[in-house]
Amino acid sequence: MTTIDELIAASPYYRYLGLRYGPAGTVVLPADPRNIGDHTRSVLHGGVLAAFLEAAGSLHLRASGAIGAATIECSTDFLRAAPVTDTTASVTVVRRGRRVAHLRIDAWQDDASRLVAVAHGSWLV
Amino acid sequence: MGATRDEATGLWRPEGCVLDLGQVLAVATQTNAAHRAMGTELLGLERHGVTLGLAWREDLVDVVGGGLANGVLATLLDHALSLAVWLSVNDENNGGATMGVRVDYFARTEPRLGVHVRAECVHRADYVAFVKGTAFHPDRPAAVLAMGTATVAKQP
Repeated sequence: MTTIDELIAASPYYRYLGLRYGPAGTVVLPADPRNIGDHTRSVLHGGVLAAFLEAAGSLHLRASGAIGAATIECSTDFLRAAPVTDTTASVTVVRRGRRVAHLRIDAWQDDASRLVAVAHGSWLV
Repeated sequence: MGATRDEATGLWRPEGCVLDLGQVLAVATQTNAAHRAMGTELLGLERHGVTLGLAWREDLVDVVGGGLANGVLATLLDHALSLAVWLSVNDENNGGATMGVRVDYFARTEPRLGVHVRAECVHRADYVAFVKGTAFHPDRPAAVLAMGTATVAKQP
């Protein structure tokens, strides 16, 4: 089984985002001003957050044996503006069938009870 | 009368569009750090839409498949969807905040090919705008790689 660290190291785009493995199976998007979307408010770009949550879902599945897991769709709700600080994503497997896995991904910054974004999606496994 | 060429930016101004195209170009490609870093280009404007482009970059690739990563498409779609609302609202100081974006991935991107993303505003209500867009390889707009939809909260 490949670890999330090894999967990040092997994938150029995950390295580009600077993703790293966090505590308790989480994935962390480190603070980087390069990910700012709105320069007037210095908050992270929603598109980067959507990319991060989808990446966390893919990494979770690939690290648990579905090495070629392919996203079918992923829907992200932006709950509040996210300042430039470390963002953590935690993946919940809603259901994993033989062909398709349904995931929910929560993202927060300093306070795990204050989500900045939440995503749900389905993956071919 | 139709579209007219904007001298300063080289962009075609859609008929009826009153935005400062220099500012549109800046927001599309420069003031958004994520897109400045990726090298996003503004390829075209419509009265209610935009087309963005990104050249192939080997540092933006997913190891599975070897083409540009899903996240690159999501980031481009999110940006284009938001810009399309701005074009549609047609007010300099009135963009919006994206509430949610959904991306459906139809096919893996091919290695060594860039992508274009075209987005258009489908409906504007009082507080919310609805936008849709597609991602495709340049010169292959019919072969959709991903479809994005978003809801954008307009500024009051």
